[in-house]
Amino acid sequence: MSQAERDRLLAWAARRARGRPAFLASDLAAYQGLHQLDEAQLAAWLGCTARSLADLALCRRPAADAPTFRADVEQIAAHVGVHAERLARLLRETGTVVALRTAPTRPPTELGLLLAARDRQDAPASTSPTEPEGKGGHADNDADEAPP
Amino acid sequence: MGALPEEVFERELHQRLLSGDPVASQELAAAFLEPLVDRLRTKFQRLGDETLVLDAATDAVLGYAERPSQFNPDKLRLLPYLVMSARGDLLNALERRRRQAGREIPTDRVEDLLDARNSLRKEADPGERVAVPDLQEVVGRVRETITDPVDRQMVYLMAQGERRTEPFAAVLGIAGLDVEQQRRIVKRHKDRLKKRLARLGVELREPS
Repeated sequence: MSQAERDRLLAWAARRARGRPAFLASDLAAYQGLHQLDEAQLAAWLGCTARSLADLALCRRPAADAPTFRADVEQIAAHVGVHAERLARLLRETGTVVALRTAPTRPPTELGLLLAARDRQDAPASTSPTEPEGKGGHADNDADEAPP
Repeated sequence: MGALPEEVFERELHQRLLSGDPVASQELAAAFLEPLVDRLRTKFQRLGDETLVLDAATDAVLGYAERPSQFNPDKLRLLPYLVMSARGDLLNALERRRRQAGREIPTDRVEDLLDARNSLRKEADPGERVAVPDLQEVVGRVRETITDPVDRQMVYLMAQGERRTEPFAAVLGIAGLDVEQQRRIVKRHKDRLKKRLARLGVELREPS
């Protein structure tokens, strides 16, 4: 079987995995939707090829609140060849959106406080030395660069 | 044909999936999707719709990655397990497709059931000779009870004394499967319908 056929099968599986929250495919799709990105744009932002997106999509989704989150993100980034910090950012953003969508309805004031608290909590994270950095685990200070 | 992954690799991968390794699922797909699709293409080579094969293969791989504890590597190699899982999904998909196709069958074919009345007879109670009831009544009871158009066409064929597998397979939408699978599925459906008819007090004569 050719490499092209193998890539086609993995791309098929990656699309199929979008409906399964256990895989990163669901986060990539959510992020594309949030920022109106096509695959090429998302791949460029993550620092990989469109072909590598399928590999990334088939990785297990690290739980944002798990103690292994940073290590998991770095492992995935190194395995696939993407910017670890941007991947972490993508996961935090899609995780927040999912949490807000699935959370029980709260009074607006309380929700506003929670979001403000979360913003404060997230703010220093982009410069924290414990934050995963760089493509494939290498340093790369572009945490604040917006997606295209 | 894709190369078969080594058993040692399978076992390591299984352990990594169990321990939550985030990249193990990608490695699983990269290593097993290709040989799995190859096997399914061979098994279902007359299916004529590769989408079903790819979906079934993908779901088997992703399902295993999500729930690795359901697989016991001491009992089975991974590829046969994935083939078994995908095969089940594939047959279910074919069944759903058959039902959908059944809903689209023109009703005039269903009406042909009435023409089969001469092949229907009341099943007499053992040891008791009773008058055979009006055939129209029996046919009416069958029509009321067996409402699924595909089942009706199956009954029609059975009532016509059809014994070949092919016409039943065509009605069931499984003509793309291999002959042995067709035969098993057709038999299962015929047995099911015979039981339903028997509960209505009807048995179909087997042609001599």
